[in-house]
Amino acid sequence: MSELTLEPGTSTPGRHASDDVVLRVSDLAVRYAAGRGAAVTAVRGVSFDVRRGEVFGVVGESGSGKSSICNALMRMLPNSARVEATGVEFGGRDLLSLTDKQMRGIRGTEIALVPQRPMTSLSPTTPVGQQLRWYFGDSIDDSDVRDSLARIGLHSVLGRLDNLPSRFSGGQLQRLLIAIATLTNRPSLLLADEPTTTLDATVQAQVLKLLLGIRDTLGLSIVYVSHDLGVIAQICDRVGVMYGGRLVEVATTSDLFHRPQHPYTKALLGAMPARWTPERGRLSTLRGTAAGANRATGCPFAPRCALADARCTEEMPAVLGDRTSMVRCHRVEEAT
Amino acid sequence: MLEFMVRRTLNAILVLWLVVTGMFFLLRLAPGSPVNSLPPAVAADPLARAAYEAEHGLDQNIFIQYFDYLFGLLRGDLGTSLYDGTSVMSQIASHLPVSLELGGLAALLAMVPGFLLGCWTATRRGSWSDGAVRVVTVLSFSVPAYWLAVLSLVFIGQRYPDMLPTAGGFVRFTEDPIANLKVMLLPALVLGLSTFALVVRSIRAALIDVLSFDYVAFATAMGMPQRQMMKRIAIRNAIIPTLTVVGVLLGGLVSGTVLVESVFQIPGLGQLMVTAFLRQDYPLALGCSVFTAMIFLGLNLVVDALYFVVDPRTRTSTQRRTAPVMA
Ligand SMILES: Nc1ncnc2c1ncn2[C@@H]1O[C@H](COP(=O)(O)OP(=O)(O)OP(=O)(O)O)[C@@H](O)[C@H]1O
Ligand SMILES: [Mg+2]
Repeated sequence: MSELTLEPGTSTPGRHASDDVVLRVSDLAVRYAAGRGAAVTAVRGVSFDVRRGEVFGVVGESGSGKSSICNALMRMLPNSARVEATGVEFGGRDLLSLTDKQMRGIRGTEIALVPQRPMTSLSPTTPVGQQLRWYFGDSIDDSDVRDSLARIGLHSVLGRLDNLPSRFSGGQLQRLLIAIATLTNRPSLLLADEPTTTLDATVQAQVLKLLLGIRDTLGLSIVYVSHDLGVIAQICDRVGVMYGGRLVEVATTSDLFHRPQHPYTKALLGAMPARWTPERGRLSTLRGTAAGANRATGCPFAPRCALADARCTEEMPAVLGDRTSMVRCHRVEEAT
Repeated sequence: MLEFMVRRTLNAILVLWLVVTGMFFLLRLAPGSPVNSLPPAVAADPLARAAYEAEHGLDQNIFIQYFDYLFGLLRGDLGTSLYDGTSVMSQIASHLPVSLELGGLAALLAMVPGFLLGCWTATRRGSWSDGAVRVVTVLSFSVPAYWLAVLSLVFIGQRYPDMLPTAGGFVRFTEDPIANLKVMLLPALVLGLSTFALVVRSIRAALIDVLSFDYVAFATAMGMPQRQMMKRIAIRNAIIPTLTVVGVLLGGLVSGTVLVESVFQIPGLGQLMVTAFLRQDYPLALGCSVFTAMIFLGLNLVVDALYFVVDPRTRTSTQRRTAPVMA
């Protein structure tokens, strides 16, 4: 963990500050059919903006709906899923009202995705070089493309292009996938759904560095999904905190870590092992589980929140703030 | 890879030997004798019987007969028929091509449309056409082949008699290809139907599995067109599990020819074998069994070799296994 710092500021918020919004998600909901007419609500009422050159983090525990958001943006949800939104604007178009054909034209070209499991994301039976050719076309033979691949540490891969993916390490493959996702068509938005969870800490740090480097040179925007606050702190400019399918807080990374507002955000920070020091005593853990939070009519966190009262369980708090930073909590609302 | 294939081949030879030995002794231990199927003048006369047995070496110790047969086999000599004294090898040589044609035709009619239909329904999962194909395939492999054979004989044979290889009227492919294919079509369809259904089911299941894998999602996320994705990635990976099923199915086609040839009166190896067994014609029955086993084992070897073609991982993994030995 030596390379992981928790201090926000590794990337300065506002460095790419300009108000042009690349992605504007308004009131997104995702539901999965769960057989016999029943439905599971995975995401509801989610709104956020991603600006040019910004790394927007999405953090939340398992099952909070992070992947559902990514897949909804890519329009790659299974057939059992239904997506609703007031709007998902990207580059002046509403992604949800595009035809399938138009959407295929956007995938990989304007919005790219870095997968979570690099080891299984390339076809296992085709040599890596052949697969690079699928995506890069014949430009894979150009020296400048090869140079940029070599520059991100893919030397050894370029020397063994006739090998199958199984012959490479997870770190090599993840760098390769990032290269494919970002360099083939220079997309303006990159969705990264926990791209480093299967990698060890050092390799993870290298991959994060690579992502930030590419963000800087290409000026692309990144939606970075993770349940690891340490990683979020390292690379994000702004962060959205998910709980039970709802976005409960959005703040700049620095604000989130120094002045968390929502009780869930506070609990999340309190449960970070890296924040633990012997003087603090026991590592705080959250009581209860998130089960059923996605069905709650009120605040999804209410059942586990020490500050919750009857109103919290009945009524979902309104958005306090704007699209750049907001919190949804009755307690915070009352305090202001 | 070479090492693997050599091992597989040696294995096949061992199995073949076991088949020969097993069949040889089972035939001899079975009650009855080939002499019984001779004309009554011979069969009822003890002297004539003894002379016949001596002539064909049937009076010798069974183990001596066994080793005689085995050494003959190694020289490619399968002996002569006890019934009419013709060479077993020449009998097989005239019947085998017919069976190979029947089996090959059935395999072709089952595998090619089965493969295409399987791929097609996998991309249309849950639609009404997928449901229709499911019903058809379930019916196809639950209908017993003998029932279907008799049924088609009765119904189609009545209306289009020239679709049937009626007794004595069988035309070989070399004599008249068109007429031959005409009479082979119906038996091949009956033989291949359940294979067709199982190919559809297995390629569909394998494809649906593969379509849910990460590498398909990544290709889709990169905007690879569906057709290309199917061709380059999905089908390529789905063929591997299907190959195992295909190996088993081909074996089923080999044994299926026996039944279909008997029902449709096709002078193939299956029919020859049945007649030989009924007459207790030891050398001919054994010769037919040996050839059937050889075809069966040969097909399995081909399927094994195909694994190396479609799954490059098997190539590298055997290399890896041998690498430390050489180092
Ligand atoms: N295909 C599906 N069918 C039915 N329910 C689903 C499906 N995919 C996800 N869900 C449900 O939707 C909710 C959100 O899932 P999602 O995968 O978006 O969570 P996540 O935040 O990405 O979790 P993780 O950190 O484990 O990846 C979960 O309750 C999950 O059970
Ligand atoms: Mg997820």
